[in-house]
Amino acid sequence: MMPWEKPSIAGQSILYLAMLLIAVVVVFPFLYVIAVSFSGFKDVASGNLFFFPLHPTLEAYRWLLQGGAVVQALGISLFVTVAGTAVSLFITVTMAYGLSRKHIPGGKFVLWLVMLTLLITPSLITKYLVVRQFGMIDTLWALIIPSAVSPFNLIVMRQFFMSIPNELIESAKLDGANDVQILWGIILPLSKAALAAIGLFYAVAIWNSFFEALIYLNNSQLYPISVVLRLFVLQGTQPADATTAGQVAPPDLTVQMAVVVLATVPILLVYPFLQKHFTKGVLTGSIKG
Amino acid sequence: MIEKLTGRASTKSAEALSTMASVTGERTNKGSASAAASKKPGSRPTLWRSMVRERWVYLLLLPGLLYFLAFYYLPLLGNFIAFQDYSPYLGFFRSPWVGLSNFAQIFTAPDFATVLENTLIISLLQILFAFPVGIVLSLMLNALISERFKRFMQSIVYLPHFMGWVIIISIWQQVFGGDGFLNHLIIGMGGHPINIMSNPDFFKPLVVLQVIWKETGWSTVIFLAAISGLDSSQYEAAAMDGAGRWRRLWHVTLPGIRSIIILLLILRIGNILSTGFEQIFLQRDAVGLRAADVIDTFVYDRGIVNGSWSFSAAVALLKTVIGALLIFTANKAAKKFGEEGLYS
Amino acid sequence: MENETGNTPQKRDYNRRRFLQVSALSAGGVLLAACGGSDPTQLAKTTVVPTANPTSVAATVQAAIGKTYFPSTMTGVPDAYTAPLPPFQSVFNVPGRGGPVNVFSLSFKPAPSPKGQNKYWQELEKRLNVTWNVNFAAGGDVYQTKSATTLAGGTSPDLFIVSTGDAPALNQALQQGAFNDLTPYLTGSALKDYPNLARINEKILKNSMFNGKLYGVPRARPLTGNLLYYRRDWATKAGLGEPKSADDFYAMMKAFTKNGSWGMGFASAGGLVGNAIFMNMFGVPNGWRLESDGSLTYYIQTDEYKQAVSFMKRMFADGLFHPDSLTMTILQLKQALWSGKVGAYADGYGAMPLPMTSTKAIDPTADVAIMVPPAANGGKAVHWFGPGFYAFTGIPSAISDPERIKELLRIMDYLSAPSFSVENNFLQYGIDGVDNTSAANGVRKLTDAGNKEIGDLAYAGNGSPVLYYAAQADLGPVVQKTLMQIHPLGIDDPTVGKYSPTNAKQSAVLSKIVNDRVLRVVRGLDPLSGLDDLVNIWKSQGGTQIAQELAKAIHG
Repeated sequence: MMPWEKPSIAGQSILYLAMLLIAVVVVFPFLYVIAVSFSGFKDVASGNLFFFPLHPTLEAYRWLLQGGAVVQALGISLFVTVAGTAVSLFITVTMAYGLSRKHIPGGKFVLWLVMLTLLITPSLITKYLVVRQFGMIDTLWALIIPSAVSPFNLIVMRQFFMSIPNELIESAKLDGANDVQILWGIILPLSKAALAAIGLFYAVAIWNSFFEALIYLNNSQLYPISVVLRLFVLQGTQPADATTAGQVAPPDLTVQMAVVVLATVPILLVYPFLQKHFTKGVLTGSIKG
Repeated sequence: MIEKLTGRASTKSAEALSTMASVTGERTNKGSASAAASKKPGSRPTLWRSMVRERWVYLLLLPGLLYFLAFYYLPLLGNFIAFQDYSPYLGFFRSPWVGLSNFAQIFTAPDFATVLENTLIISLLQILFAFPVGIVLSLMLNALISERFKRFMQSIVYLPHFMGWVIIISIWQQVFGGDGFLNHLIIGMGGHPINIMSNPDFFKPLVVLQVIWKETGWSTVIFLAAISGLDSSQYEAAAMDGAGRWRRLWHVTLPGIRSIIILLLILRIGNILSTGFEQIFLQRDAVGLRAADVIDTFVYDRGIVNGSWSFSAAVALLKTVIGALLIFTANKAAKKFGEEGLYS
Repeated sequence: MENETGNTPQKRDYNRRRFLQVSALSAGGVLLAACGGSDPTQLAKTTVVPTANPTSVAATVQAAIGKTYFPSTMTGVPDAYTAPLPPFQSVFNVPGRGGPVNVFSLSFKPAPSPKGQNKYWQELEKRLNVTWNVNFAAGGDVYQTKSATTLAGGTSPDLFIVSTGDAPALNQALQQGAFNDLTPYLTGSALKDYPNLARINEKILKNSMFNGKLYGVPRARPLTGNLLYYRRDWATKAGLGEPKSADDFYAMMKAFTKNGSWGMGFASAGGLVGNAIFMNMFGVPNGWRLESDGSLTYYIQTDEYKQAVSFMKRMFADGLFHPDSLTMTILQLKQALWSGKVGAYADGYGAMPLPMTSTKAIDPTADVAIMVPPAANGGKAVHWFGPGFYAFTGIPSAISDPERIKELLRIMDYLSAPSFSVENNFLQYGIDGVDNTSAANGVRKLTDAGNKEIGDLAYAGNGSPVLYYAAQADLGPVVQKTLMQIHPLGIDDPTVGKYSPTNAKQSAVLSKIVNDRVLRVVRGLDPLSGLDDLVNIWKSQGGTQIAQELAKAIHG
């Protein structure tokens, strides 16, 4: 609590109630998903809603985790997300800084170039051919490089950089620091919140992306968890035409929900670690004061 | 805008500077003269000398520039298939040229007007309702006194963002569908069942409600990050001037994140022709094309399923041109109101 | 009772017996000699040996007729079994020459375990004698995009599964020569090199042709189209027998709608508009009707269709359809049947045994049957035949070496091994003891490992379908009997295999418009005259042209 804040009981109570309501609305589907993933087929088949497993069982998870495809996919997603976030942040930060500097000859042109990309959607086929030209088809690089930079994140990062007081940079320049040193020594330490936010955006986007994997990867052994999840969820939806007589039952809803849990939980664990960066800024100033 | 913030923050920067090893303390009081420090007094440097001096900036711009050229502009060249009748097997060089006929096809499709209308309405509803809700929720979170409760809420409020639309819609069906939980309650209480998931008149509000539910928590990430960057001494100063909670909100917090809000708004307007594909695609059949077909699904039917890549490319080109115009206009309007805008 | 190919039942039996005799003798290498002198490579004999002496296999099969083996007496209806036949060998030469084979395959299952841990995959490579690389495209939009990128990209796969139903754009590619014309390899005397491919029904082969040429090996199916699966036990409880008219059907649907259940469900607009039972009851032509003057009428233009739509409209207004039909996926619809939320739904013939076994798993007293479409009040009921295949496996034209093509066809021959052959048992059930457990009478059951390893690795081929359901052994002959009642009502789509350029470009959009508009009428949002509007829109958006082009293609 800040020294100047004088909260009112009534105000805070209303706020708490509203928050709890929001929490319920937001959390219940997860409870449902988790409950189903720990249940047996019969409980689920009726399609009725329930929020904790009526007869808990680990069957779905056991079935999923043996055979290796799911575990391998999780490993791949982990690698791709970490490496991808690093690559994305690197390119985003360097370019955002460059674009945040004023009076750079040609700077405005580059800025326009970037802003236009917000609206460009290259045709899938040509993007595929370019990726192929760079030799990335069927490698994990296809999941990292082609979508490395989101123009949106870039512009937002630039905005954050621009809000850092110019005097700091100018003083450093007078001291003989070049832009790289300034970026590393001044800008980045002051931008922890922005880095955490944008980094999180990238990490989540990479973790959840499946379309790139489906298009650029031929080898199913390179599939990230998002693709595995999708294939499970879509299974059983094919026309009966497509299979020969004697269909085997698709993995039921319990397995599908278990895959949802496995595909979602890891990335959920990232945010709590980054949370502290979102509150740090508010504290720094007052401590010095 | 930035100047105002800089000015007020100069006391803070003084303190911040003193903790940094790379700068000495005496040089902090440059004030407004700092803007001129990059220029030598009197002479204007030549272009070449400017470029040489800024070489580090160019170096920093290089990775991003290469990326955009390779993965946006190079494939963009491929969008000229909008003027062809492109066949993947024949490739660029053997597919026939058809001039503007793909574009003509867009406008002469019988339901295009409806599609455009649906797209614009859904986007506008999202801007009017979904956009502000994120800000409101961020402010609510920010107003929580208990740090622990605030942290707890922050880490669950964004959960829906992580679920794919397939799962979300299937769950919404089980709650709100004709055979859903809600109807069981209603019937139990003697009422008449409703079906909001397949009612064409309710579709657009339904879509917006779903987006609000899914994305509001996630959008607080960016607003909270912005709020956390605000200087707390301003709050102190305002409080000492007698400003209560609401005045502080209005005069410190909101102005502080105004630039981010405007930025996001401009970007959203530029993207007004995009509504998000999967959410609508999954529910389109339930309410019919007249209520639900939007540009992205319209293109999907013709471009992807039919394999008419030229058609998709034509629509993409149109979106680019229109989006650019919209961003340009929105930006100019923002600056007229005294805002910083996307670029100066 | 008319058979399309003019084969009498007796003649078919004779042909079958001849086949069995040939395979019984084949251990001596009769087929090897039939390879002809054109193949310079001496093919190695397979090392896989059937567990039973071929002569005894033939004798056992003969003895099983009528007991566990029910040969079909009608073309297009598969044979039925209540127990597996003893395994017999159908391929005697190792098909591959070593080296890689790249397959672009549709897939409807999750990806198989990685090759390093996948014994099935490794064994498959051993038996085919190639390195088997599969590029999966999960059905639907992924297949549409991936088929295009595969065509546009420089490296062509060796085998390419072509499904013009899923990706109409492939019609264009076929027209432009993207695939090898395999007609010379798969007709006439050349067929003796591929005994399993030779079994494919002639009519099905003809249906899978494109512009009169064979561009791939079709995945053969019975000609059976979509069927209505319904809860016969509910009907019995309500005192209703098999419906004999549309009114009977209506009464049944009404009787089913109570206590949280509904008469029937459908999954989204596409699931209703061409729904088998309504089309069949009212005698709607199968897609198109060829008129006496040689022109084509589209089914939505017919009076019969109007009647069918009125009927659907009535059912909808009376609340006899499951209210979430419009938002359900096909899987949810199936689950609705299994859990007793709907009393009927339409699906392909291949849905069995799940409608029966899964429903019984929840309600042991359940009995799910296939409905023979009744005639609507004095008219004539029909049954919409399917094309008899789903997708075909083609060889892209970048592959031009005839020896390579022959090698690939030998692989396809292996993959198309018939049910109960050694090869098919392996392809479907994997390695005995690892991927499946087998009981004494030869019934194999997939283990968890099997479920993970097999996936759609061998999707490219499939043996001729039979009606055998391991999960409920007595079901096969029952289904067969019902199909033999339904097939005489069968009508074909006269435009199967005929190419219309406008159709290739417009079919997806047009079907979307048709689905949308018809649904509006059924839901009561538009009056019945909305169908006339639809016909006009359809005509102006390419329908007239398509009808003309297809008519021209039919008459040559």
